[in-house]
Amino acid sequence: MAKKVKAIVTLQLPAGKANPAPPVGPALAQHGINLMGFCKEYNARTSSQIGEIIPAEITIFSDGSFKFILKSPPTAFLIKKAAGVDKGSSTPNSNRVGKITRAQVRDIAEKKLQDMNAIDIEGAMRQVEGTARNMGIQVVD
Amino acid sequence: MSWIEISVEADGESAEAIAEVLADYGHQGVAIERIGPPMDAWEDNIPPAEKFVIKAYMPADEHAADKQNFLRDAIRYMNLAYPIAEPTFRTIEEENWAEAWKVHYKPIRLGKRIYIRPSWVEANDIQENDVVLALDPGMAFGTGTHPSTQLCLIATEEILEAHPHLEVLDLGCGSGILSIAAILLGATRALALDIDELAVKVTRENAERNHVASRIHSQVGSLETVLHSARRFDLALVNILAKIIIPMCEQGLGQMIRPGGIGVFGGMIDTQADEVEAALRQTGLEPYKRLTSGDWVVMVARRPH
Repeated sequence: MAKKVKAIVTLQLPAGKANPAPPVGPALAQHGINLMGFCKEYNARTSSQIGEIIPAEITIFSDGSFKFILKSPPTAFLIKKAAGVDKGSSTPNSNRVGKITRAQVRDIAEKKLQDMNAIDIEGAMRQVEGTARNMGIQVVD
Repeated sequence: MSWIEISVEADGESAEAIAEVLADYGHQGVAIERIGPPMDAWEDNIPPAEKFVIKAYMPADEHAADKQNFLRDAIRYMNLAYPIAEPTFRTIEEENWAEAWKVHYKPIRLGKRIYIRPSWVEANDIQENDVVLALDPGMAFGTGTHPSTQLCLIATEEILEAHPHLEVLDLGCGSGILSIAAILLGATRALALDIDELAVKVTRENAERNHVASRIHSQVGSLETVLHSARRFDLALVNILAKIIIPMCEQGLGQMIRPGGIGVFGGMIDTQADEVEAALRQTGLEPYKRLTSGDWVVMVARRPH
């Protein structure tokens, strides 16, 4: 059945640990989603990835039903991994904490392209560069 | 207990970086929601997102004020490299979120005597001849609120009121709502098919919840499954989509109905109805009735003797 989409919410959660506390509860209860149904399904699907942050993109339909797909780890997570740092900079404009190459940006963009709000690889690369810049990670040629 | 909700609006380029910062302060992750005009879009035609709001939550404890200041500073620094909106903070009270979502669901009354209720609602306005279905919302399937499903239920009630004891095929069963209603309205037994394993599982669960599991056989299958068997049906319920029903007609959709039997076809909007009607005629059926609700149309057709 074709259904109209009411909202799309992405939750970045620790794999296997979804529960009705924030952010899941307030983000989903407002849309009338069966919270425990989501948590149970998310935890089952991510149980082999404990320790990682696994985003779930939840499509909420006008009849209150929903579906979700799991996405690859957040871009920031992949950038930190590529730069070999644990954390981004809290003062990104003045304090850069690492570097990644344009080739690494392309590699991340290719991994994330399907998950991103970008039409092509160049658009995806711009988003990765933007995320890196905002984390205090310099992009070099 | 209270929580501080942190919200920051962002475009696609900065959303993930902001989510990364908020995740450092938030409890167990962040939520990223598309914002803008109400979506009201079909599932297969969702416009690209332009703006998002990123939300995180932290306990409203003695550290909250310090954390808010740190977060403001972090966003301010990010703003020097790329324009980012100021974060906003509001206090929300802890709720029983595991139960709060249920307030969105109320019983629905359809046709003459169909009454659909969420399982947690005690129905206190049931009338003597009501046919009560208990369905809970969950993954992928609704609870009878879709106009096309409602029209199919109304058509099914009318048909079974005039001709009970029919053998039913529910093609694309989803939650199993049509099969369950058909049995409760007098059909003898139903075959519920869906290409989605989850639908088959949910149909079985819902059939058990409504005490009709012994009369509904649910399995993964399609039109092909029926056409390759010798089994034919008195009543076919096909609440799928116009773009699927039309090619099904070319594959012999009409053949699954016994001569003299009836088919109920849903999942089409008014601009598609004429094309579906023509396809139903091509497959040997005679459409004789249309039910409408808003843009939605359900067509009822008979297979001649």
